[in-house]
Formats: sequence, structure tokens, C-alpha cells
Amino acid sequence: MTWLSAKLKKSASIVLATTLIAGLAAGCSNSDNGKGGSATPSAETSPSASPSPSSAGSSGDKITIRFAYNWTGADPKASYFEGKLKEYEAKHPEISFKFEATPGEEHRTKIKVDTTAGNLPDIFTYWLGPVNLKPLVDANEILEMDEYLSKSGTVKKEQYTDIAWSFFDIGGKKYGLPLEAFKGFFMANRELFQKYNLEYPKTYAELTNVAKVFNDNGIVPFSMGSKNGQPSHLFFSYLAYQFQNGFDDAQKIPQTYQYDTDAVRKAAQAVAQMKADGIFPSDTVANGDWGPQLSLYNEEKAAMVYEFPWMIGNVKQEIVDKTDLIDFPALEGSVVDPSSYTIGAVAMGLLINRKSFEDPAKQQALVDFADFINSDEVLGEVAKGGLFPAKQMELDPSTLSPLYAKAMEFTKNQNVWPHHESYVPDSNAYSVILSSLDELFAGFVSPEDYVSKTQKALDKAK
Amino acid sequence: MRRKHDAVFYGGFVLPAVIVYTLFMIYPVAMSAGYSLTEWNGVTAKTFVGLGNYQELIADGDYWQVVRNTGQLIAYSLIFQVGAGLAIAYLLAKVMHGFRFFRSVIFIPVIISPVAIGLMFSLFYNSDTGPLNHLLDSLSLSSWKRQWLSDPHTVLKAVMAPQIWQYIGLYVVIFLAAIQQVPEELVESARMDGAGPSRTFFNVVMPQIWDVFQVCVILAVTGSLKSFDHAWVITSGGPGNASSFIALQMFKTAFISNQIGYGSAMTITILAYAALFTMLFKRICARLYN
Repeated sequence: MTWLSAKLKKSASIVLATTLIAGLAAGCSNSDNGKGGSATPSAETSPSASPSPSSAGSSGDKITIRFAYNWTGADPKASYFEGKLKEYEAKHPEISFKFEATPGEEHRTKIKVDTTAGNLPDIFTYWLGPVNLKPLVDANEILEMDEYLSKSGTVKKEQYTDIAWSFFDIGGKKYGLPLEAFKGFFMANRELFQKYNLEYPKTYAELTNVAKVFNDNGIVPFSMGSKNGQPSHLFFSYLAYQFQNGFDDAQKIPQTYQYDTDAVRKAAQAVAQMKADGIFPSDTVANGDWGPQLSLYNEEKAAMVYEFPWMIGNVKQEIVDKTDLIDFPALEGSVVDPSSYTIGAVAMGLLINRKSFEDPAKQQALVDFADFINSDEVLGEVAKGGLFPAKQMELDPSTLSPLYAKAMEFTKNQNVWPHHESYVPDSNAYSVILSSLDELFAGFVSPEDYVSKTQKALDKAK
Repeated sequence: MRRKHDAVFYGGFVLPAVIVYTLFMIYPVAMSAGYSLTEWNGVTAKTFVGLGNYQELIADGDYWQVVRNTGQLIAYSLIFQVGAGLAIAYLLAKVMHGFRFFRSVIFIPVIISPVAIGLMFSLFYNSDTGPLNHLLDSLSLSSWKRQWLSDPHTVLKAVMAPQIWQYIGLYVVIFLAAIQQVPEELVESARMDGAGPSRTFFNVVMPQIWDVFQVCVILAVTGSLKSFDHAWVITSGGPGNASSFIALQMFKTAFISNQIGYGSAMTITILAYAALFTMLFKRICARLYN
């Protein structure tokens, strides 16, 4: 019997090994379970279906459309936008939607990883400028918008200004549909200023006086941090444009690759001076990035802040009531009136995967979906969460946040000048600019070293 | 004939592991090695550059800065994770009552997400609103207050502290299990022969747990070489590269600067450092043991 039980054991072992191999094969096969596919660092959420690891293609008779976006999570626009997505999904049972939501800047990384893996979503939101779009254009991954517009039932070129289109222009062709515009605005806590008998500063000297009083009372004068260049890169451009040829030089960067200009040097020196004068929080890294920067202002630990529409929904209502929009003071040596312009551009556009568009089974569904995203209905709804639509359209003021209306009114007559990201053509160079801004704001590098370092990165990219 | 039959039979059992290992370890490493020989932005066609990326790495001051940062992290990990982990485990092994409670409490940070730990510490370190500076004030240690994340002298240590702290519990638990396997008779007979606590530890306990000690050292070093989460959440490796490590620098190079080839070269250097260290360390330990 011993040899029989040994034989039985061997057979059982063979069966077990075969089962393990079969299980392994099943586990490694392409399936719709869980989060296979794109290796994004942040969690993916979805209004309904789980993200699919497969790219283009249909499942059965249904068309599958993968849409990636970043108005999700803590973004105030999320609930409005994702609510609309759910509605559209419910109305189109013939389409299997895979919504891939990745918050904030991580969405940019997700799209890059997807692109590298040959797994670009069918349609996705993305940022402006050659630094973001040129690699996708060079690889022939994204659709030229004229092709979409020729098929669209509702979206017309004339609904957007030439300036809005220009942010998605690569080599004379447009590769994104402008979606979200933005304009910066400076906010001041009226009650804090009144408490210490201070006036809103108009000059740098007044700013330093105001700063001294606030610092003596444990209040940060101006909440501006820098973590991976957020949000300092926008403020830095604002400072640079106060100086002679600041904006003109920025516009020429795609041709000249010249970041080291008189205006940029002066802006860097202004940042160092402001840090020395205690204008910023003492820890610009810990207070860097959008959330921590606004948090200081929301908690009334900072008197002023530089904000943008995507943060409007995060400003506490009681703080909105105490907030006035002001002009930033003119810096010493500046020639441009700081009240005459604001930093602004089109922040995000809608891009379409060229291969997906050329799939006859998907084309109409993609066109219809893109039309839906750009409809007045959706943009008007998302405006409640702070979206400034890039499309020229009327918004119902009664549905908008009071701060939104204030910001629109305050900036309506200002020139809208895009920040440097719109012009820098190389992603590595721009990455150096952003990380070096952290060093400049933290006082790790001198203004001269900041400019020299960033210029070297651009020279390398030439 | 029987041998061949047995070989096939046994091979069948290791085959799943071999397949998994090949697919998820060997293949990606081979692909990375291939990418490291190219200039590639992840989107357009690759350009073969041979060892050009490695030559660039050698001359890249930023790379060596993050290598130095990683070296510091390894040193602190060995001291505070392995060293302190061993000391705490040794003490815990002697606790009669409640040692399971202490073991559980020490292990809790290990199971928390590194992102959550990083976020918690980034709030902790905020010199304007965070509790750390307030705590120092309340302890009359105001002179110790710093801008923890914006001070070049403190930012690296501030980023290293949470990741070192988080995994001390892991080493405590590993060492505790090993120490508990040491035969009690050996320790008793050492005591009866007049050996003091430290002599007992170094001459009786350590030789018994020597293999486990080696594994923990290798874990600490390779874990430090892969360090990413805490630095990314707290400072994104900044300001500049002040709090960046090789793995984080690799990520930024590949996926933010769109230099997949150059980033892959950094990945291969991580692999090389880990392999070199493991080989040398095992050889040294074998000689020491002999």
C-alpha cells in the first residue's frame, strides 16, 4: 500500500502544480477586474465602472471609451463635473465608459505613463503649451482639432478666441479644445487689515511696513509657498512681467530659449528681497502647493494670498465675506502697472487620441462626448465649482460663488498674460525652473544662481 | 531515467515562481537596461546612445547629490532601524508581562500608508502652523525651532525621520522572533559561567541570530535605495534636490522631465548598488563568521 499512497501523493502533487500554473495564467490575462494597465501613482476613482487596462476597443457590441481627467477628489469642480459624467453615462447605455480620474498634477504623470505604455486614453484633459503637447504631437498621438470640429454638431471654432486656441497651437495647428481658462487675483482679509489699522499696500515700501506689523502679530503677510514650483511659478511670472520687456521676453522664449533676461533677474531679486523682509511664510516648502497655501489664508493666519479659479470652491464662506480683491504693489524698478494685467491662460484643454478618432466604431461617440464636455450645460454646471470656461459663453451669476463673480469682475479689464510655462518648449528645462523656484523661495540659492541654473537647462534643450 | 523524471516533476513546482519572477522582475529589469542605452522621451522614437546616459550620470552633480542623500539615509536606517530595532527587540524579549501589547504598538506604524505618514509629518513640520515648533516653545526649547522643510541643514533629516521611524517596528518584530528562537539553555549557561548581559548578547545571542541580522541589514539598505513615498509627499524631493533620493530623482527624470532613457540609467545604478552591496556584505559576513 505504501507504493500506492506514494503514487497518489504524486498525482495529487501534479494536480496541485497544474492548478497553480492555471491560476497564474488566469491572473496574468487581460481582464476588467481591478486596476491593471496604467501605473498611476494616485488612486483612480470612477463615477461608475472600474478603469479598464485595455486601451481602444469594444467589449462585445458596446463601444468602450476611456476618458481621463483631473477634476476629481478635493477639486471643488469634482462633484459638478462627475455628476454630469454620470448623467451622460446613464443616457448612453450603448457605450461602456471607463472614467480614469487622477487628481491634480498626478494626472499629468498618469498621461505620460499611459503614453509611454502605448495606452493613451481615448479622450483626456491636459495642459497647455509646447512643453506638454509637443511630445504628443511629434509622436502623432493626438488629433488635430480641425478634424474634430468638422464632425462636431455643436462646437465651433468661433466659440473660442484666437488667444485661447493659441495655447494649443503647435506648428500652426491646434491640438486641444480649450476647456478651462484662468486668471489670477490677489485676495486680502479686510478684517485683519482693519484690526491692525492697515491700508492695502500700493508700493513695496508700504508692503514691507504692513508685513512688519503682521509679523509682529504672528500673521503671515502674504501666503506664497513653493513646492515643486506650485504655486510660485505663477507668482514669479507675475513679478517678472512688472519689469521692462518681461512679458515680451517670455513670449519669445520658444525662439530664443532665453530665460535669463533683465526682467527675470529682477523678479528673482524681488523674491529674495521679499523673503528677507518677511513677506512670505518662513517655511515656503511646508506652505507650498495649493492646499497649504490657501489653508493659511483660510485659517486667518495669512493676510493676503494669490489665488486662481480652481481654488475658489476651497475658500471658506466666512473668509469670502471678509475678502477684498486687491492689486499687488508695484515693485521697485517696475515699469508696468501691476493693476493693468493678470496672469492667465487656458489651463486645460480636451485632447483626443488620434487612433481612437480614426476608429470608425468610436468616432461619432467620441465626437458626441467631446461636444457634451464642451456644452454650455456642462461648463455652466462646473462653473459653480469655480471653472472659468475658455469658451465664450454666458454664465448665470445667481449660480456662481460670490468670490467667482468678484474675481471675474475684478479681472475683466485686465490684460491676461500667460505665464512662462506657456512658452518654455522643453519639459526638462521647465522642471528645472520649477524645482529651482523652490530653492529660490526657500533661500537655498541666490537670485543669480537661480537664473544661471535655469538658463543652463534651457541651453541644454536648444 | 528516474532522475530525469524527478527533475521534470520538481521543475513543475518551481515553474510558477520562475514565470512570475521572470515576468515581474527579470523582464522589467532587462527592459530598463535596454531603455538606459537610449535617449527617449517616452513618446517618440528611441535614439540609441550606448553608454551616453551613464557618462552623463557620472558628470551630473544633481545625481551625486541624491546619491549622497541616499547614502545618509542608508546610514541612518542601519543605525536606527536595524540597530535600534535589535536593541528594542532584545529588551522586549525580556519583558514578562504585556510584551505582545508593546510588540503590536511598535508595529502599528509599519502598516500605515507611507503617504499618510508623509502627509502627517508635513503638517507636523510646518513652522508657521505645525505642532512641532509649538511643542518646542512649550518645552522652553525655542532655540531648537527651525523652518524644518525650508532650512538646508534640516530638510534632509526631516524627510528621513518619518521613514526611518515608520519601519523600526518591522525590524523589532523580525529580531524578536529570532531572539525568541535562541535556546534558553545557551543563555543560562553563559550566565552561569559569569557572562554579563553585553557578553551574553554579543557572544551567545548574536551568533544565533546572525543570519537574520544579515537579512535585516540587506533589507534596510535595499529599502533605502528604493525610498520614494515620504520624500515625494513631504517635499517632492526639494528644495531643488536637497531632500531627494535616487529613486525619487529617477521618477522625476523619467516622468516629469520626460527622459525615460536617463531615468532608466538611474534605475540600473540602483540595481547595481543593491547587488554590489549584497555581494560584498555576504562575503564580509562569511569571513567574519569563519
